Amino acid sequence: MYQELGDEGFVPITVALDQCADDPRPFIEGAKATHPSLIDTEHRLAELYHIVNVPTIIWIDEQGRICRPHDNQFGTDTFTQFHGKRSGPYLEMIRDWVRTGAGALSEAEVRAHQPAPTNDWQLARAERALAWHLQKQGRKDAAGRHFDRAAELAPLDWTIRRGAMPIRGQNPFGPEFFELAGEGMYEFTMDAVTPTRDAG
Amino acid sequence: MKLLRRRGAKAALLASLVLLPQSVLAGSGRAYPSAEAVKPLEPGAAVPSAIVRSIDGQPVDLAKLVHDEGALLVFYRGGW
Repeated sequence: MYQELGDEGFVPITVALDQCADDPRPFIEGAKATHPSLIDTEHRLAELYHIVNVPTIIWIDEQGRICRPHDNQFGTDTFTQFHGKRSGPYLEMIRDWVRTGAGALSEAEVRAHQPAPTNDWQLARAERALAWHLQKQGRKDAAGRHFDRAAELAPLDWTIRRGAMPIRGQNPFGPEFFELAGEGMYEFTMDAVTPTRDAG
Repeated sequence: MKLLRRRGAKAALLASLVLLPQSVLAGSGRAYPSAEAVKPLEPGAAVPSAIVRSIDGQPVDLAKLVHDEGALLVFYRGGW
């Protein structure tokens, strides 16, 4: 998409919420990515933009402001059977936006759909930051306690809970994940606005 | 064709500011410059200066990647 639209005033910026660059490296190198590909090991951008799960896509206008807030959408149909969303309509929306401006929301609409964290959610991020710091210091037991506390404070934040699984030696596709999935997922209100689900 | 320009939204206050001790680290082992810096982006605010890393480990300022053009911020995971 960058190759298609890059000359028309558009840049995709991908942000991997991982513990090291080697985690997303196969995807970045496999795609021969030429767009900015970032690694947010400290969850700095996750904190600033209140990212609670992935994939999350945010549109940024020419002034650097959000013009279509947090949306859980996909660039391929690999997992359509699981989540029910098609990539084609969303990619077409992006093309329309770049070429005509269509799809950008009004200030009021952005404000209505931009999620904001609660105090507990912010505390969870502080607990997660402390846990990650302790983990890197080799203090795994102490780190585990703070990861647990973060999970209690923000139970629907998969960037904290599922993201911590490989750090804690758990399989993010194993039993712990399916237990987490059984608790339900945070849903952005944009989910009801962006028409990418199959009708019916 | 360039993206249509939009007026900037007015900033609104979030009530979610949480004060954190300086012992809570962020970035590359450095503390936040102040407790007030520990907060999410306010509605209507522009892309902030925030340092993350490239695949080669080089520091990158998000704000410097957005230059008067439309951008998509795509958050994903590789290892989980």
